[in-house]
Amino acid sequence: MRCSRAREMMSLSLDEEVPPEDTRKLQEHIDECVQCLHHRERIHHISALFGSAPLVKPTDGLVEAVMRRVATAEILSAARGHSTVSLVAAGLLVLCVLGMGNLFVVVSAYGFAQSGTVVEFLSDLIGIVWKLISVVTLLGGIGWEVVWHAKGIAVSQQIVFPLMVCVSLMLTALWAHIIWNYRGVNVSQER
Amino acid sequence: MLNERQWIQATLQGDKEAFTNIVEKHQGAVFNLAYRLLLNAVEAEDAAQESFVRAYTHLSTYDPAQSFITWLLSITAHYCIDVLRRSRRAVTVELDESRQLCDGEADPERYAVARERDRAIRQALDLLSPHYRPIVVLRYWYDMSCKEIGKIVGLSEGAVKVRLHRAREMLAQSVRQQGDTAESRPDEGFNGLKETEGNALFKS
Ligand SMILES: [Zn+2]
Repeated sequence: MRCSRAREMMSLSLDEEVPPEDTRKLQEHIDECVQCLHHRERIHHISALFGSAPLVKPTDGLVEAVMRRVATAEILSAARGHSTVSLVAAGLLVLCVLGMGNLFVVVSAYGFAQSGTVVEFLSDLIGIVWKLISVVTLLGGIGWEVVWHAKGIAVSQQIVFPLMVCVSLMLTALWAHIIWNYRGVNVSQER
Repeated sequence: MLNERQWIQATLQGDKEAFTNIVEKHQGAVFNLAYRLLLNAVEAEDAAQESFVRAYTHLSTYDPAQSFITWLLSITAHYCIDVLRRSRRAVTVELDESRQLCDGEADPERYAVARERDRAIRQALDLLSPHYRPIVVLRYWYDMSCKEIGKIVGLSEGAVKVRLHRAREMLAQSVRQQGDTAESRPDEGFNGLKETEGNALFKS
């Protein structure tokens, strides 16, 4: 028997039942080979060192800490469930509402409404609110993303941020377009 | 008093209190595995928490025909192996409370021995790469068969045996070198350690 084979068998004998014939051959080799004898002693020492160590214990607060994290994990998974279904619906709803706002801004900017009427007042008011909303949507989207990112959730896993960015960019562009086109019309009409 | 199977069932039905019982019962086994794999008491605490959270959120995937503790430990092992692969060089941090190392009330002398032994073990396990360490720990601390270990780490029974053999070679080699540096005669350090437990072997 070669030394390498003997050492292999030494290890095997710790993990499984080795046939008596092999055990005998191994013992014969060890009786003649002092290196392998020492090797076996070292391996047995390692086993004794590891085997003598009891399981170490966690600190006292582990159970409470786990239950706190379990509660957080539930909230997060619930939020993730929402993001795929209801947040798309919410996004569409927001688009509709802002579309209405868009209409009022056109009325306001074009000067369609008669001066001093309720319609003019509402158009101006809603126009301003609408502009604010597009800014808030953009900032809110970024803020939301920062929070979710801090909790370790990747951007690709959620839909809120891309949706908010799309909506706010679209509205900002629309708003700029309207101002650019109809501001001048108003002035020339007054002349 | 409910048994484990009933706790799992109750947890699946939304009873968080039942899961508390599961954590209480297995926290020792899970934490010990994390500590032996990461060699860091602080990271082990976090890994143990993460393991239980994962077990909770994936509990519906647990197959009741299998052993629950094996399933749970495999979650811990996978998580820790990931951590080990991500961090290039692990920093070892020892346990800081005597009751974490010793059963019951420990007198200073017994604690000192336990600490010394723990340090020697950490130093020995530190020699093993993430390919070998989980196999050695599961074999020695959890008395798992090579077949069970293979299931957890995704290797055949034969491959586990080969790795155990190689790990033992590495450990024996280091015992030898420690002996060489400690004493002029190669095996004196090793033999001396055998008598006075955890004394000279892995001293740096
Ligand atoms: Zn030999």
